[in-house]
This record gives sequence, C-alpha cells and structure tokens, in this order.
Amino acid sequence: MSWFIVKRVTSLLPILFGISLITFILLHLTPGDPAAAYLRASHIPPTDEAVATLRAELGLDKPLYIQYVNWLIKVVQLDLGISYVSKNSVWEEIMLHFFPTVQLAFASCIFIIVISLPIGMISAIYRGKWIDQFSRIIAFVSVSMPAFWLGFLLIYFLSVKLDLFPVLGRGTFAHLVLPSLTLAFPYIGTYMRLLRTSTLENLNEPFVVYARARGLRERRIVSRHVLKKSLLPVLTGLGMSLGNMLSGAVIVETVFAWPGMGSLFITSILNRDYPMIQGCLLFMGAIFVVCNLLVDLTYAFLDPRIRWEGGKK
Amino acid sequence: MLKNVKRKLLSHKLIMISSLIIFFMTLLALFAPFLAPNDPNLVDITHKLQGSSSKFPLGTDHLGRCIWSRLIYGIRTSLGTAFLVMGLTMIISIPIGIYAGFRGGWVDYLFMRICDILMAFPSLLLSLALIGILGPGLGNLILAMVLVQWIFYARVIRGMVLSVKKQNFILAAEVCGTPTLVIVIKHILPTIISQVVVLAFMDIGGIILAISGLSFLGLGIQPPGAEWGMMINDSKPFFRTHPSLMLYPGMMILIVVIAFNLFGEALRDVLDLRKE
Amino acid sequence: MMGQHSILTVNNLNIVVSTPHGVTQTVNDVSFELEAGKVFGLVGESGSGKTMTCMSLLNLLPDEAKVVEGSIKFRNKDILNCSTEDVRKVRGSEIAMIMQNPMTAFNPVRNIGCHFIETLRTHLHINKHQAREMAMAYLEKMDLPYPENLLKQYPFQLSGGMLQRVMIAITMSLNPSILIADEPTTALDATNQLQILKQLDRLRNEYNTGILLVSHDLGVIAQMADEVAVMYGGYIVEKASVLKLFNRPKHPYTRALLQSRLGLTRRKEKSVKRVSVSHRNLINRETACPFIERCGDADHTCANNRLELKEYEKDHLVRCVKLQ
Repeated sequence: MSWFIVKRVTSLLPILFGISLITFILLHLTPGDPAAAYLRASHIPPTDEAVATLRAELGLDKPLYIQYVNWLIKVVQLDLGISYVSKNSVWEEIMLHFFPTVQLAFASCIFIIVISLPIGMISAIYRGKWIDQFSRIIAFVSVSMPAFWLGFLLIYFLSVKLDLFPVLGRGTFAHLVLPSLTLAFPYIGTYMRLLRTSTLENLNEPFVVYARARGLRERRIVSRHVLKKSLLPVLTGLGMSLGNMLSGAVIVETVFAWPGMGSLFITSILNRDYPMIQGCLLFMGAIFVVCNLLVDLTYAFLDPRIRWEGGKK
Repeated sequence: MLKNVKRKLLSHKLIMISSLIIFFMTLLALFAPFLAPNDPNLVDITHKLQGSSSKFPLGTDHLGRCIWSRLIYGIRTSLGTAFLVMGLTMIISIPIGIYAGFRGGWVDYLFMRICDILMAFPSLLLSLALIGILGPGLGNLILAMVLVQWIFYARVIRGMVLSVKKQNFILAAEVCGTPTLVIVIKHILPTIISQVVVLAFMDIGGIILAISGLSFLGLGIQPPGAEWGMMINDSKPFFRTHPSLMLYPGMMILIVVIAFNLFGEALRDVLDLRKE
Repeated sequence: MMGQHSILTVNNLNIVVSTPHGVTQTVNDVSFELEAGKVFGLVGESGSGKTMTCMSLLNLLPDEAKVVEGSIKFRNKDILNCSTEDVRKVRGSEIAMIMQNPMTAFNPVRNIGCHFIETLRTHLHINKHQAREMAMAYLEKMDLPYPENLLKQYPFQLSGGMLQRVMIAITMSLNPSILIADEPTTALDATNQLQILKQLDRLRNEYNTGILLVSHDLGVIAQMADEVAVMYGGYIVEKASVLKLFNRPKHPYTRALLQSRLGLTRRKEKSVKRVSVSHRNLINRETACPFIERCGDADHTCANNRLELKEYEKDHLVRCVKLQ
C-alpha cells in the first residue's frame, strides 16, 4: 500500500511540472510587453525608458528558460507575485478566496450524493418503471441546464418569491444552499445515471445470485454487496468532478456573488490582472491534480483488488 | 445495414422530436431578418422594459430592444459559434489523432504527454485563462475553446485508430502495398468517422452551454450583439421586477441544448456505438 | 415407494425464456425427486436446461425466465407459490447451492469472513463473535489451512478450489437438507475436483444431505450419483439408477454420450450421426423428439408422436418412441 502511494505521488511530479510550464508559457503569449502592461495597470505612462527599467527589474531581459527557472523558484516558495490591481500578494489573495470555494464544492458533493445515490439505485432496481423514466428526464434536464440561468431561477422563485433563502453573498448556512445546489445540479443527473448503470451491471453478477442463494435479505444484498461495488466508479468520477467544480464555480460564484476562487479568477480576467490569472490557473490546476490523486488513493483504499496489486510489487 | 439505420432513425421518437426542434431553430436562424419584427440592436430608451405588445411580441429589455428579435438573432450566434468551434476542433483533431495513432512511436509518446499536461487542467478553466490573456471577444472565445477542446477529440480519435489499425483488413491493405495515405483515407477514416460524428453531436450541447456561460461572464460576444447568455447577464439588475427578461433566453438555451443532447444520444443508440 | 423419503419433488416443470428473438421453451416436463442422503445426478450438454432447472428450485430464475407449468414441493411447501420471505428463509438453510464458477460467486470487494458471517447471521440467532468461531470451525473441517487468516482474505487472493471449499463450508455450517451443486467441478483442475467430490460425499454421509449434482462430466456422475437423469433439449430423455444407466443405456442420446466417454479406451466410432431419413421441414416442432436431427435411428415416427417419459422397465424411464 505504501509503495502504491509513493508510486502515485511520484507520477504527480511531471504533471505538476507540465502545469507550471503551460502556465508560464501562457503568460508569455500575452499580446504586448508584460512590463508595459504592468505600467499601464499602475497608471504610469509606458515610456521606453520606464519599460526598460522595469524589464530589468522583473528579469524580463533574460532568456526565457532563465526566467522560467527564476519564476519556478519563486513559485515553490509560494511567491506568485503581486496583483496589478489590488497590489496585494497573489498567494494571500488566493488563500483568502480558496476556502469559500472549497466550502461550496463540498456542499455540492453532499447534494450530489444525497440526491443521485438513492434515485440512481432505485431506478436500477425498478428498471423501466416510472421512477426510472423520471430519473432519465431529470438527467437530461440537468446536463442541459445553463447553470447561471438555474441560479437566477432559484433566486427568483425560492428567495425573491418565497423568501426561503438569502439572495446573495456568503454568511450563514442558508447562504450556502442555493449556490451549492446550482453547482451540483449538472452532476446530479450524470451520477444518477452512472450509478444506475453500474448497479444494473452488478445486479446481474453471479455473486448476487450466490448471495440470494445463501438466503440473504434483498435489502442486505443491495446495501452491502451491490452498493459498495457500484459506488467505486462513481467515486472516481466524483473526485474528478470536484476539480471540475472549481471551474464551474466561476459561473455560480458570479451569479451568487460568492467570494471564492471563481470570483477572484473572473475579476482578474476582466481586469487583465496577469499575475493573478497566472496564480489562479497554477493553483487550480495543482488542486485539480491533487484531487485526482486523492481519489486514486481513496479508490485503492476501498477496492481491495487495487490495494493488493499495489502492495504486491 | 444503411436501410436498417434509416428505419431505426424514423421510428425513433426522440430523434424525430429533437431533429424537428433543431430544424425549426435552424429555419428561425436562417430567416431571422424576415422573422424578427424589429432591429435586434436598436436602442430606444423610450420603450424600455415594456411588456408584450403587437410591436414587441415578448416585450423589450432595459435599452428598449425587442426581446423576440434578439432571441431569434441569438440562435445565429449560439448555433453558429458552436458549429464553428466544433468544425475547427475537428479540423485540428482528426489529422493529429490519426497521425499519432497510426504513426505510433515517439510521435504518439509526445502526443500522449501533451495530453497528460493539457488534461491536467479542467477544460473550462484553461479556456477562461486563454480568454483572459487574449482578451474578451467572440473571436478569442472561439480560439480559446478550440485550443482547449481539440486535445480531447484527438485523444479519442487516436484510440479509435489504434483499435482499427490492428484489424485484418488494414493489415491486408498494407500487405498489398497500399500507400499509407490511401489506407488512412480509404480505410481508416471511413471506419471511424461515424463514431466521431456521433461524439461531436453528443458534445455540441455542452459547447453551446459553455459559449453561453462565457458570454454570460462577459467574455464572449461584445455589446450590442445578441447572445442568450449575454441577455441573461444584461437582465441581472432587473430580474426581480422583470423576470421574463431572463426567463426567455434561458428557456431557449435549455430547449436547444436538450434537443442536441437527445439527438446525440439517440444517434448513438441507433448507430449502436455504446462501446465508447 | 420413492416418494416416502423424498424431500424435494419436482413435477412436470416447464420453463420458458423470453429473448429478443422470441420465446423459447428451455425446460420441458421435468420431474424428479430428491431423497435425504442420496445424490441425484443431472447430465446434459450446455443449453439442455440444467441450470434453469436448478435456479427454479430456489425460485431464483432470472427476470426473463418464467415457470409456466409444474410444481416444486419441498417438504410439502410449494416453493413456486410461497411468499418471497418464506423462500428466502429456505435458501441457504434448507436448500443450499454451490455455484458453477467459484471465482465469480464471491463479491470481490468483500472478504471471505464477510460472506461467511453474514450467511450464518441471516439464518441463526448468533452474534458476530459466535459466527466467526463457527466459520473458523467449518473452514477447518474443510481442511482449509489458517482459517483465521482466510476469513480476512479477499476472493481474488484464493484459488478456485479453495473458494469452492469455502462455499461447501458455508453450506455445511447451516446443515441444509438439500444441496444443489451446479457443475461444482467444471472450473477446477483434476486434483481439486477430487477434493471437492470427497467433501460432497462427506456432506452426504455425515449430514445426510440430499444432493442434486449437475454435471456434463459423466465420470463425476458415475462416481457420485445414486440415480441419474439425462437431459437433452430441455427434456429428461432417460432416468434410471446409476448402474442401470451406465450398464444398459437405452436412449440413443445416452448411448452416444457414453460412447463418447469411452472413446479413450475403445476404438472411436462415429458416435453421433446426422439424421438422414427426415427432412427438416417434415419435422413437427410441437411433437418431434428434440434429438431427431442428430439421432441415427430416427425416422418419421419420431417426428410426429408426442413423446412421453415411459417406464421401459422398473425404475428405468426413457423418452423415446422407438423403445416403447
């Protein structure tokens, strides 16, 4: 098992390296000189002289690979530069906005599990019945629904008309409900169907027949035998989705004025705040990769087959 | 076999409904100038936020523009952009995917490593960052989406090519001394193209959603152009008092995306490509 | 005479399976009885309806299969018309089953202990600790080494033979009156086969369990069974005591089957010939003998007479027009 962890963590390094490379290159695709952009953002007229001084100061006159190494050394020390707009440290800004997004993503995960798990299982067990048809329709609507529109609908009907939830912002627990439901909605349908498929597959496995032949109660067969095995693929997917939710959060956070990573990212894009864009991209890319790693490890922990194979070598 | 497919297509209720919707939408988009009662971009503050009337079937927005006309012109933007993105993606990913899959060796290795890195980012995030660097606008939006999307298709196509490559009829063609280019065009491309088309149709709904999402964030088409996501964004300050401003464009997105998703899924069922 | 000791009576069982291509009759007019401490062998090629028959005994037929006629009586309890809860209580504790492929019969993500203990606790009122002790005792009885370790292991860590013995241990622990063993040795190698057969024999002798042994391996049947039924095309074509059946087979299919087995020692004859007399379109599917197309002795009488399982001599039943 420990060997498996070491192997997986090591395989992470080249990907992290790749992420840093892409992020670095992206910023150098910026139309125009970054130094000039910096000066403009600071409301200093970009004269040739000022630009040249700044280029030397920022190390932009050195060859690209040296710039990359210098930048990487700083990144490893969590120095992601200074925001053009707020003049704060990018790392500190990210840290400030990261937790609300994590909160949102986890609340969404809870919604996904609580809603799609029972419906997915039930629609597999009662295949072809009305609940199955119903879940199919839900699944279609959920992947076709524009998140920002859903957000407004929820605000309009549940907050404005019925006054059940606060409209915007972050604060109490009630503030969390609508944004996380909006963020979860597209995934709910997907996982409902995924769980249905994997449950259906497992229900036809010989081990289910043998479990029945041993006289086990149907409830136990479903909850202890089928569920555990059907949940494994769902779990992998969910981990990947957790990373994708970070980007989905961009829209949801904008709709609900949620002060998270998504809001930070979109503000920096609209302001052309390059260090911030770069920092956010790097950070979210790394989080995405780490999420996937954690999922792999959890998967290995839950699935004895992989645990065993991993430990064998 | 083709007859069978045709029969299945016609008997498939979902396909009928969804293709009717798509057909109807395309008609609306094509004949938008004749069907729209007003200039979609004509600002007239004196008529702002009106209810429906004979002049404005669905009322007007905060700048007095006709919502119905903007909705119809919005089909052009959404479908046009989505198909453009998909087309460009295909133009890039089909040759690259086939080349990597067929050639193998270091080309394939390099390709896979690029995949690993690009796919380490959530795709929308990378598009967002690209737009952030290139600057907002419809052209940059298309560019950003294509640059991020192509890798997924190229990878799937590579996989398809790999499995086709092992089959005997390709070996037979090789043994006969058929030139590689001919093998690719005459044998490999026709074998995988139907799967690729189904894949593209299944994703077009998602692309429409992504485009409207980016426009909603103000990164896509710039004012005064008409786009559904942007219309919803415009309605933000007024949606409590005038919910219809946001209701109509959202409804349009939902209908179009559902239609394409249904169509894609039904197409896959009919062509029986469940393996993917 | 036999009926007095019989625990399980199957009468005129008919099963149909609906497939996308239509409905097929997979089991036709199958009747037999199982007695305590006796082994009833069921022989036949794949697709002859053996497994469907087994599954119906526990009311475990897949959704697409249905019993359309007949009855299954277990100690005067009608298995087919019991409540689901009543049948469930019978499964495992009264009528147990050993699966064909031990490697897929266990849930790969749960260990052996889970399987064993949950089975015990479903049927007996004991706590976890007692169940564990009991499980270890029975695994030891099956000559499985380190039972404590074994309980913690996962199915994929064990060999097919070991898993099969675990299944027998689970069966034994609940002391059922009937065991259905559907091809228990097919997936195993020769040494393991022998082991398993020994254990089954022990189950019969020590616990007086009646065993329904399904196999296409005549060697296994000859070694174990007291009475044998041969199935072909969903019908029982011949039923007799093991000695009679092996010494004086009557039905052409049984004879062909036995010849193919002896082919190793004798000079091989062409054991199964194609029918020459009858044209396909003359065959009346409703009444024709299922073996007609492969039978060497077939003629028009085989195509048009309704077949019945008739007593050829005492306790030796044959379904063949020619012999009646």
